[in-house]
Parts: sequence; C-alpha cells; structure tokens
Amino acid sequence: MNKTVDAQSEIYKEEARELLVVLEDSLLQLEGSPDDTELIGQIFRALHTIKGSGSMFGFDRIAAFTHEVETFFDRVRNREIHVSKEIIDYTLKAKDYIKLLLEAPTTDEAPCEQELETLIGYFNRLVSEHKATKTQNPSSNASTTILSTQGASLSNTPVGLLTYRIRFSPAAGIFLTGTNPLFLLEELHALGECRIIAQRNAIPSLEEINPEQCYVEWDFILTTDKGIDAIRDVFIFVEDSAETRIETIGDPVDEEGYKKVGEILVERGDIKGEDLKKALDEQRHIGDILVDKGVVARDRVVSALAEQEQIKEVREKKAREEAALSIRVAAGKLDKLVDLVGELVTVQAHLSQKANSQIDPELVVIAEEVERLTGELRDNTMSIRMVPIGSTFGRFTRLVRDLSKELGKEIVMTTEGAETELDKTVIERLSDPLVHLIRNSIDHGIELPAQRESLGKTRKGLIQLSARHVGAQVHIEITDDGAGLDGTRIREKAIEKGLIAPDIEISNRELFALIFAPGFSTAKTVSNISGRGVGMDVVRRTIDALRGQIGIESEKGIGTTITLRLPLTLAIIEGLLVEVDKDYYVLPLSSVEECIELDHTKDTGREEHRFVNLRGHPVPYIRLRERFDIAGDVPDVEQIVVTDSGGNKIGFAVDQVIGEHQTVIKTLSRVYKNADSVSGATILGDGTVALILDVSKLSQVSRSEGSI
Amino acid sequence: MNMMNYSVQEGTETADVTFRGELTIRSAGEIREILRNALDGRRTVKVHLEDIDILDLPCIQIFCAAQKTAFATNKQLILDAALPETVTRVLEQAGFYCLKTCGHSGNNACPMTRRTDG
Repeated sequence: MNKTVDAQSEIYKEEARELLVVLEDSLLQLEGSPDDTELIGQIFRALHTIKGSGSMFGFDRIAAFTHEVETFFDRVRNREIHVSKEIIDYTLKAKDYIKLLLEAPTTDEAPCEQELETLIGYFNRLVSEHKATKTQNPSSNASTTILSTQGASLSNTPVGLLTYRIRFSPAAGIFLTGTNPLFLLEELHALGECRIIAQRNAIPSLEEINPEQCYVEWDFILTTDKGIDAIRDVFIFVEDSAETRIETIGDPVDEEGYKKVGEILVERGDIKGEDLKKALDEQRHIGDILVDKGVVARDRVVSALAEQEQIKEVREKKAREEAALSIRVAAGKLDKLVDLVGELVTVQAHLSQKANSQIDPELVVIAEEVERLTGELRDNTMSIRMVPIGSTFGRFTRLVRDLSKELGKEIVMTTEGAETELDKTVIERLSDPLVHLIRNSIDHGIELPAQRESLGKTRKGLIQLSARHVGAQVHIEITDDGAGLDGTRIREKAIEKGLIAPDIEISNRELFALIFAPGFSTAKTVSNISGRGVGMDVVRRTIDALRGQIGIESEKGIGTTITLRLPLTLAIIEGLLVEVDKDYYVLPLSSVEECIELDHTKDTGREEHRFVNLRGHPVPYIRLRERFDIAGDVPDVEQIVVTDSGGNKIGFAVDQVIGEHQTVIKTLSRVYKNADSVSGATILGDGTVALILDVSKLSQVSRSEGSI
Repeated sequence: MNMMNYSVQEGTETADVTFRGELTIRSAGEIREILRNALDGRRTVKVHLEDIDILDLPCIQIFCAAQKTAFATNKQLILDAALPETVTRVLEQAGFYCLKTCGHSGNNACPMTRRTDG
C-alpha cells in the first residue's frame, strides 16, 4: 500500500469511527423514541456513508456487511418495519461488528464469522418476513410510503437544517372568511429558504369561475432549522378552512443525486407507480411524458422539479459551509505547534526580562507587545486542542444500557455539560477511569429494582454524569442514587489490610479515599464487572498522571458522588514556583493548599519524623533539598508548601516560595524516564530549567521508603 | 383607496384592455366580465397591467382562467408590458412564476410567467 492510500484509509477510519459514535448515540436515543423519523434518518445516513466510503477506500468487508444493515434500515426508514428493542439490540451489535471490521487488519479473515452470520441472518429474516407480509397485503406499497413527520416530536427546540415538503390546500370558501392565503406564504418565506409553486390546475375557465372562490393549492419546499412546529404555527389559523400536509424530505443521503422527478411524484401521491413504470419505458423527459399522457398536471411536475433543485442547492451550500467551517488536521501537527509556542513563550519571557533590565523604553514597549501577542497565540493554540467532553459521555449510554440489562437493573443515565471543553489528550486518557467508575456505580451502587422499591426508591436508578468549568479546572462528577459507600465496612477492610491502625480516627473523606488503595475491595462477590479491587487504584493513578484529583462524597442508602478535578490542558501548568538553593521547582497549583513557615529557631515539630504542626494536626513533609541531594545548609526559616494528594496532606519544605507561575510544559527526554517524581520541566525567562514535581508520586515514594 | 378602472380599445381581430388601480376581490367579478367580452369574437387580447397598484389572489385566478379559456378556444391572451415591481414580487412570492410554461397556455408563455423555461 502506498502512502497516499494509507493516508486515505486513515481518513476513512477516522470518519467511520466518528460515524459509529453517531450511530450508537442515535440508536440509543431511538430506543426511547422509536417513532422519531429524524433519528431514523440519522442512522440511515451514518450507515449509508460508512458503506459508500468503505467501498470507495477498499474496505469491502465493511461495505458488504453495512449494506445488509442499511437495506434493513431502509425498510425501517420507510416505516415498513417498526423499531423494537430487539432491533436496537441487533443494530447495536452490528455497529460493534463494523467497528471490529474497521480495526481488524484488512488482510485477515473476517473476524467472528459466527457473529457475522447471526447478524446477517437476523436482518435478512426481518426483511424477507416483511416482503412476505407485503405480498399478502398489497396496499402497503413501499414506493408510495413517505416519511411523514406527523408523529414526530412536538418539541419547539430548533432542529438541524431540514427540508420539508408542504402541500397547502385552502377550502374553496377561504376568501369569504377574510383570509388572504398570500399572507401565510409570506410567513413561510420568513422561516427559511422556500420555493413556492402555485398549483393552478383546478382553476376553471372564465365561464365557470366563481371570483369569490379559491381554486389554487400550493406546494412549498422549505429548508429551515426552525422545526416542524414553527411551520404548523403558520397554518394554525386556517386549520378549519384548509388542509395542510407537511412531510420531511431532506437532508437526503444519496450522493449520486436526489430522487428522480418520477419518484417524487409517486411519493407525493400525484401519480401511481404503474404510471411511472409505463412512462419510464419511453425515452423522453419523464415530466413531459407524464404531462402529455394527462397523468399529472404540469404544475405538479414543476413542483417536483423545484424540490429537486432546492435539495441540490441546500446540499451544495451545506458542503460549501462544511468545507469552510472546519478542516481536519493531524494531531501530531498540533502537538508540534504547541511545542513551538512553548519555545516562543520561553524566548518571550527571556526578552521581557532583558528589556526590563535595560534602560531602553522603546525595547520595553516592543517586549510588552511581543508578550501580549505571544499570550494570545498561546491561548489560541491551546484552544485548538480543546474538544467537548460530550462524545465521551455519549459512549457511556451504551455501557449503562448493556450492563444494567446484564445485571437485571433498571438505570437511567443523564448527562450535563456535554459541551464542556477539555484538552484532547485529557479526554482520551479519561475514558478508561470513567468506564471503571460507572461500572462500579452500576454493579455496587445501584440496587436491583425490587430492592429499590422496598427501600422506597424509584425502580429506576439514576446515574448522572456532569462536567463544568471551575476556574482553570474541569470538574467531572459521577453521581448515583444507589446504596452509597459503607463506611464501617471500608474501615474494617482497611484495618484488615493494615492500611489504618484500629484505634485511629479518620474523617469520612480520608476513609473513602482508601478505596483507591491497590487491591482494596469490599465486594463480597467478584463479578466479571467489578469487585476484584484492581480498578480504583488504576483510576487514581490515571487521574494523578493527568495532574487531577479525586474526591468522594457518599451517604449510605442515598448515593455517591465522585468528583474528578482535572486541568483544562496538559500542555500548560498553573504552578507554584519554589526555590531550593539555586534550583527551581514547580508544584501544580491545583494540589497546593497553603504555605506555612517552618522556623527552625523555634520549631516544636517532630523534626526526626518530618512532621509539621498545622493548626493542631500533624502533617508529614518532604524536604526537597534532601530528596534531590542539593548541597548547602538548610536555612533557618524554611517554607512548607502544604499539598493535598488524594485526600492526604503532605508538605514540601523549600527555601523560598517565589509565586504563581503559568508555563508551557516541556516533556523530559527518555534519559529521565526513571525520574518518577518529576512530571516534566519548564524553562524560565532567564533560560533556567525548573522541574515540575509529581506531588502524588513523590509522596508515594517517600512513604514506601519510610521517610515520612 | 384607488379603485380599479379600465379601458378597452376594440378592433376586429384584437382588443387592448388596460387596467389601473387596485385589482382586488371586489373587482374580480367585473374583471372576469371585461375579459370574457374582450375574448368574445377576437383572436387576440392584449392586457396592460403596468399601471395597477394591487393584484390579489382572486384576480390572479381570473387572469389564469382567461388564459385557460383563450388556449382552449385557440385564442391568445398576451400580457403586453412589464408588471409593476410590487406586483411582480407578489406573484413571485405566491408561486405563480414557474420553471416551465403552465398547462393552461400550451407552449405559449403564460402572462403570469416571467421565466418561460427552466
């Protein structure tokens, strides 16, 4: 495979992954509203694009399999097959199988052939069952089935851009009620891109016409994002004196072209299928043939042509807008850009320092301007890497659905703040910990429906995922209304494992933090979902690596909330710059709680055990000078930076606290791969390197060495 | 209110009918009679609408009916001059401009049709 083909395949894979997310999300929503034609349309379009592009880029197995699912969903789209839970189950499995095919090497045999056969068998069976029903009941003619939105959601919420076909037939006596239909047409024009075709066929001759009667009806092709209710509102006052039919027709998926004129006319019920077939046998424009044969009025053909034209224009416009709105850029290029901006920030800081040390006002002005521009460039660059967390949240709907079904539980998952943006890298690494926390909530938190009822709770348990910006952090909360944590049992287990002494009194916060210890589990039984105690410590480690913190609040019988506090980005750190001798270090500001002085001239702390007295509470501390073997004497007055690491307070003794420092993180080279306690480095304005400390690792290492 | 008024110039083969003012439902019956008389016994009727202020839906229907009658009896109804901009806009918004000639006028351009071919 050459490089171009490789690149194209990668683009296809990337797009297909996105479409599979859309597919899964739409299927899960469809389960709750099986009549939602917009969702069905979305599913069909996703399948259609996966198939079409798959075929184009040589993913023949994907194209062939997706074709079967698409064929089936076409029947669903045409309302010939009704959506059931079973259909959702199988289509979700089909989605998983497409994903499997997507990630499998193309040279290998098709994976899980048995699964493939089961799925194809299921979809084909439903399609053939439907065909059999249709033969028995000829009135259910597929070619005349149209996507009516009569049963669609009545929500006033603006929907995406959709095209509607509206036929408005006023009663003959509408003029006598004082209604001027032309005013309604103006209102429709105001809703969006609208083509109007007056159907004049019913206007009689001069001899027969009654000047006070209305003979005209109208076809409208309207493209709008205002939703169907806005359209209905236009006709609300003529409900008794007119017939109005509204149908959704776009956004059509067929890249090769929109429906043919004949198909539109059949769909609208203007002609019969057999008339179309007869006309197709002649080799002329279908509209002309049908008009000449007297099958349909010219105005009807004109209206169908207008529909074709409108859809074409809308599609072209959308394609132009999409092309202009976003471009796909390789993540590696963005990382490189961030690196370069990091370099620039360093050079700029150097320039500012130099400018301030010279007596040259002109240079100071230039340095300030460079500083402003660099700041803007840095913020913009960082914002490019930001993506909304919604797509990650979306994945858990499936997880909750499948696991709750497996465990016989009834659970509703809600999300809030899906639009909250986080650095792409943070989001990618966050997925696994969130999966683990949600699995725990489902398995250990939410009770069985009968048990919940006996406790006076609703049968359905609730899991809520929410995200919000808090300063320079994002807080993600996983809340359930399940059994809550059993403090007594956690305490017993912690004593049994030697994590705490039997006589020690600790707060609930500290007690709950123990569940993140390796191998800690209070579960009486181990299931394939959770209970082995091997997950929460991994969650903790991942969150620590992301420079975040975890907090737990829980009440027995009421529920649990786990809060993940994460930095917006991994590329920039809000830190506290400290100095030991002539070396500089940065402590993540998110971990820092306070700074206190340690005056050795009157120190009453237990120096040999490295404890400092913090308002009556002993807090262990690590002296960085000793940790990093820095020569020189300890000053008489040291500063202790008190940090919080997973509910445990720990101090870091330094010579001097310089202050808050926002900087771009530079990763360390492989030479430093064993330097666990350092998560990166940063270059200060004068070119000095400052190491960024991993507070959590430092405390773990010190604890394991027994130095605190 | 600028009531509708009209004038007719009659020849043996053709008649020129000029309308002025507001062509609304109030005058639709009268317009029907004027056009019927004009078409009676003549091959061509030229309609002048350049001085009208309003053309409402009942009157649009009358002109369509006249076109239909003319076509059915092998006669011609011709719109002889451009319509005022305000009236053009109404016709456009109401969907009376179409891509092709309408069925009422055969292959001839309908007086209501600005574009004769899409």
